[in-house]
Amino acid sequence: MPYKITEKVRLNPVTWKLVLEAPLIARQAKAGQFVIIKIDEKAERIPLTINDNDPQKNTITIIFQEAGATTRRLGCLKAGDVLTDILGPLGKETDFGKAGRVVLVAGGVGIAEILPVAKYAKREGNYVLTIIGSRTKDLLILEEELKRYSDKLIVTTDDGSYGVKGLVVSPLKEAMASEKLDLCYCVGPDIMMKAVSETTKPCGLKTLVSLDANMVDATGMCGTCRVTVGGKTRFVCVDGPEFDGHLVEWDLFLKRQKRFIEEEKRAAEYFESHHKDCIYKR
Amino acid sequence: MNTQDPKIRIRNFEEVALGLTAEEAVKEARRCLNCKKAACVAGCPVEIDIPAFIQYVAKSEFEKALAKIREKNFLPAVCGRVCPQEDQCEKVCVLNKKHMPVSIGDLERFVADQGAGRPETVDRRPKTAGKNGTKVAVIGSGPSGITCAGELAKMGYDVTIFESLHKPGGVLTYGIPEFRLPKKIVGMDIDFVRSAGVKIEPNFLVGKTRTIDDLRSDGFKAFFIGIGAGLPYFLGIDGEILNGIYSANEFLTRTNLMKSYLFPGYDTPIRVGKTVGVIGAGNVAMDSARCALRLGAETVYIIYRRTEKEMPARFDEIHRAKEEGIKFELLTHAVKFTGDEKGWIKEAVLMRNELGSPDVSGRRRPVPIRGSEFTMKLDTVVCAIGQGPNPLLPRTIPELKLNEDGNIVVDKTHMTSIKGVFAGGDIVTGAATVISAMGAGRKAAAAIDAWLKVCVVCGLIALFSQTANAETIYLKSGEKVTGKIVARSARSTMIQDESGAYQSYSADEIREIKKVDVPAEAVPQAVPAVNTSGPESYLLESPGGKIKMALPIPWEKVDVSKEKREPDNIGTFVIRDKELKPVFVLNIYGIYNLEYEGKNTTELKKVFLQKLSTALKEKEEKDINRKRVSEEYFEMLGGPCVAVGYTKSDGKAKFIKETYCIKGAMLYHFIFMAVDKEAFDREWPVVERSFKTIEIQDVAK
Ligand SMILES: Cc1cc2nc3c(=O)[nH]c(=O)nc-3n(C[C@H](O)[C@H](O)[C@H](O)COP(=O)(O)OP(=O)(O)OC[C@H]3O[C@@H](n4cnc5c(N)ncnc54)[C@H](O)[C@@H]3O)c2cc1C
Ligand SMILES: Cc1cc2nc3c(=O)[nH]c(=O)nc-3n(C[C@H](O)[C@H](O)[C@H](O)COP(=O)(O)OP(=O)(O)OC[C@H]3O[C@@H](n4cnc5c(N)ncnc54)[C@H](O)[C@@H]3O)c2cc1C
Ligand code: SF4
Ligand code: FES
Repeated sequence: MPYKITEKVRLNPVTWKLVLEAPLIARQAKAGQFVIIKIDEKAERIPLTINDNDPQKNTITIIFQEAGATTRRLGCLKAGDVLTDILGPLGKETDFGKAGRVVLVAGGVGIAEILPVAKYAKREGNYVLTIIGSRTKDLLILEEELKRYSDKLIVTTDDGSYGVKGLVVSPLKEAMASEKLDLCYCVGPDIMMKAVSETTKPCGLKTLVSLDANMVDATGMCGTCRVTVGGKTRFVCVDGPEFDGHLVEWDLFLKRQKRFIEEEKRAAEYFESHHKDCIYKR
Repeated sequence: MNTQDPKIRIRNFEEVALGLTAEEAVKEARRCLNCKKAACVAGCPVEIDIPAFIQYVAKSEFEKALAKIREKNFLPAVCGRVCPQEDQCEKVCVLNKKHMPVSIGDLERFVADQGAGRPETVDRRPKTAGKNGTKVAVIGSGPSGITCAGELAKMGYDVTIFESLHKPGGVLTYGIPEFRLPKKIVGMDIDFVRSAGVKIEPNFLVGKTRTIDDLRSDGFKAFFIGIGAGLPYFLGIDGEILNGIYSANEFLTRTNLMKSYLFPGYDTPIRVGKTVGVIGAGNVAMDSARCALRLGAETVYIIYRRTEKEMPARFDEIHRAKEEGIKFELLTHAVKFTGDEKGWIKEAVLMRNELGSPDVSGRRRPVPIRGSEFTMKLDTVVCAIGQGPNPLLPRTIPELKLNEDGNIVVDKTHMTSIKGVFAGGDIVTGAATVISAMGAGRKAAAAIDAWLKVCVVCGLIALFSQTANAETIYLKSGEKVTGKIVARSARSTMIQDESGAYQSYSADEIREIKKVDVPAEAVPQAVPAVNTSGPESYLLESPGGKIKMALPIPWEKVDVSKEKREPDNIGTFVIRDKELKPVFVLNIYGIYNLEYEGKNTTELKKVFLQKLSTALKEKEEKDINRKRVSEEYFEMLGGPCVAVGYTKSDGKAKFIKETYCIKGAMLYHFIFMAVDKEAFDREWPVVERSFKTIEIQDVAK
């Protein structure tokens, strides 16, 4: 059964929101879970967070940033097009419950991934402080939506074009110094999740990170998504994607994330040379 | 059999073994002795009538040969290629005494391939019984699931296979490489199963997309779990997280399912270095090693801890791997892997073994030789030391019993610890073979059918008893008949008597007709004739007493110890739910409560009686909606129950669903019990029948 794109919205020059028809997933999805998407016969299977779901309309929403070949191809599709395969909902659901005072930290497209967590945190009755970071003002997404679920929202930009200039770590440090926090939840670039985990570790602020490992099946069958957490091998797709940021062996993870970098470059080049038409269509 | 030249084939993914020509096949088939007691058939886990199909080949009747194989085997093109015939049918072939068995596998493949590419004609489709509408869910589309689904569809069940990957086939699709088992061939065999009416839902991870309980509420009555051994085992040694170290599952899935060998035309990447070490020596290891060569590796080692004799791979595959130049490092195991600063595997530290005393499997145990460590430069490592059960689905079903390895425990009939949930294939046995998975699927299908018959077809006989508006016909002969007058004309009167049978009396036989209002207690003789006729079956008599039939009851599933009354032969019935758990005991005197799932059924009874009396009140006002009352009744019992009512005229039983339920003040007796549907059909010539299935409801409500 193919899956239809019912809506496509551009959030910034490289980030898109797609609403997709996927009735079964729309019924079951929970915060923190993701889907595997495969565009067509030749495509790769990639994981994307379920940003929202509407069981009435039978739809799910995904938000993605164009990175390599697959996300660029996805960016070329338009409303009415179909994807051959969507599998989900996958991974464990977010279940920290009422933790108390929660700080959510997100950067880049991670801001999209934190939105369902923010909704969840609020629904569970937590105090929610959200810190989101972007390279520059034009790339910032979902600020308004996140405000709705946050008691306080802090925005940082690397170039100072909006909000606080700098990285998310500094307002996080300030918050840790000035108020009592019970839980930190972070999604974003790997480096950022590492930095945030290292920031919260000394004072023992429990920190959950959502790892974006490269995947194939996402059902625990291949082990490509394995990561070392607390000395144990875990599979991100079934044991995660949430893990205790203080226990993740970040250096191993960061190296592992680069294992297909040359192939990814080749794929992107191949894409650019084979899908010229599609790039200009949008 | 001819094969592609090893030097050429290691650079392509096309099939290695080329198959027999028609001429070769006929010649080979003629060697078969067509033994009376064919040993080969006994050697085949799905019992293909081997000599019969071979005789057709000998006569060049390939179409018939294929039909013969397909009677027992849904995947002949697959089995002809991947079955270890040397350990099965060919091993026991009488001609193997002279080490020249008939090449049964090659012939099977040849016959199956004859069907390839041709449009499926109607008569080549599997013969299916008429649809019975009962929904069965099969989880996993590997050989066990496909076979189970195909067999059930042939019997008339409405079968859906749920598969988590985007393509069906299980290991046949994601694991075994194209050059050994072309995906077109797998597709062809799967299309055949589809043509039997099986629906396949890919991208459906049971446990996540929907759970078994969800599927139950979607109307599935029985389940087969054939999810394979999908969890990759790693060695548990240092450095295993390094880049360039794959599980065989990952390596093969990227290659076969995702077609990485066509990268970047296909999007999924794979990276294979110059020197590749494959750990293990089963089929999975041979496939990985041979894929690595085809993906551009210069040197590929099989690193195995025992000797060639113990290698679990098929003989042919080892032979072909050798032909292709794979190097074998035997009596060797890996101790650790070391990497470079970017996290890539650089070399492996290996150690030599010698063979010690035999272990539980009977194979001699490898014992490390102290001080024999050495290093080997490797760019890529594939870990092919086995797969275990993926816990994802079992974790969502806490009541499902597993053994200590995490495999699902089943009984002789392949039923798990949960009623109506069956399992088979690698998830039960641990990683095994295609054909053993198929054998399990086949057996489970038969067991599912038997189980559903026991549980779904509950014969219901409406037994007449005294009712408020019953009448007694006093005959001139002095006899009397009590019952309900169903038809009356100037010339005759028809009455349905206590036992439910219809009797007609002509006007001049009848002395008088009187309305009676007999208290139920007063008429024990109105109780139907049901006798226990032995431990296995109940004897059920037709209302007129003319037809008797034995109904097998699965006593092992019936726990009467908790019942306040033993089922007796004066018409006490135990009303059971689908799981055969007793809910009520019912006889003409009333309904007796039983503990049901820890709840006392007083409540249930109250509800029931309430509904009954409302229904009766309604009846007085307008004509009672009998059907509705009975449906409610079934609902309360928990379903699914198929109710069969009957009336009898022209000496034939006529089944109609409205007949049962309530008439007058007294409840008709229902008999819920196991009915052998075939015996039922045989004994009761059916004129018309309709079944109604009522969904399971929460009985406590
Ligand atoms: C559980 C989970 C949830 C996720 N949720 C989301 C989500 O909601 N939204 C989202 O956008 N992503 C999400 N991701 C990440 C997403 O899966 C990846 O972005 C996606 O797989 C990228 O695929 P691709 O083929 O486009 O890029 P790939 O080809 O796989 O490239 C991936 C990375 O390689 C690098 N790269 C690629 N090309 C080049 C180049 N030419 N030069 C240098 N570097 C390059 C980039 O850093 C890029 O990020 C999630 C991941 C996981 C595991
Ligand atoms: C590389 C390789 C080579 C082999 N070579 C041979 C050979 O030459 N000869 C031979 O006889 N045997 C061979 N085998 C073994 C044989 O393939 C297996 O024993 C057989 O496929 C087992 O069948 P199965 O139906 O139990 O499971 P599988 O074939 O493993 O199929 C299980 C299916 O269930 C799906 N699934 C799992 N979980 C879920 C879920 N929760 N929801 C929905 N779907 C799910 C999986 O995606 C998969 O498609 C080989 C195995 C491998 C890996
Ligand atoms: S045992 Fe061998 S010779 Fe005898 S019927 Fe079977 S295949 Fe033919
Ligand atoms: S993606 Fe294959 S095991 Fe996680």
